[in-house]
Amino acid sequence: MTAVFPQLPIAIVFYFVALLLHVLTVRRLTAFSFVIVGVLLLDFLHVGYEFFLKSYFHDPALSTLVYYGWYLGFALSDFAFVALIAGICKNAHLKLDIASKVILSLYVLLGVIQLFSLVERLIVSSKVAFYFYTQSIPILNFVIAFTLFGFIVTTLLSSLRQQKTV
Amino acid sequence: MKKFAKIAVVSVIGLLSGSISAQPVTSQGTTAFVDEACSLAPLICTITTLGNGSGDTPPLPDPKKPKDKEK
Repeated sequence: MTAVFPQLPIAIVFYFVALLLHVLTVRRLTAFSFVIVGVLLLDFLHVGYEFFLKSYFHDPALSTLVYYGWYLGFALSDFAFVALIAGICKNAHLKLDIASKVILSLYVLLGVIQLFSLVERLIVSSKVAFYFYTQSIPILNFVIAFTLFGFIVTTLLSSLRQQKTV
Repeated sequence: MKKFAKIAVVSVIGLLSGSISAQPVTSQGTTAFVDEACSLAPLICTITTLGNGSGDTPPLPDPKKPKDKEK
């Protein structure tokens, strides 16, 4: 866990660069702008929450609280993030683009995986499910980041192409 | 605008390649496929695998309370 905190500043720099590139390319506020800021804040919150809970991993008196707090905390924050972005976009009459839809769907999937693992470990606790959980979370995080940065590069390139034709 | 975009793209690529050499391989709470991928491209893992507990799992709740154990 101690290795996660040194990673955070680099990740934040990348997300800020991504946000800056997007804002300067589209020059207006879109649903995707809110998604970038939301992902940045959610990652920040998750790392802090992970660090906090891991400090109680070896405390048997709090094992139940830590167990439920881990899965429910991540799942509920994922669902809350999706609901918040969807609510903001609805109120601001902003249309969700394809990248935003993909990212929000992946966060819903992450939340479902958290809830599934919470129940599965209590009832079955199989090795297959353990492997699925430990692999799927980082892979989905990667897909989210890849979609986010990929969409920014795509909009940047199409904007450059448009400028060339003008 | 075009000039700015070029500078921004070059800066991002520079930052990426610079960080790859500077970033040590960090330990994650994951095994197998993800671990191998992270050892091959540490920077990608650095900026993408932070959320949702990074795939780590908490210990299962202890069915016996600590007070019961003492007895």
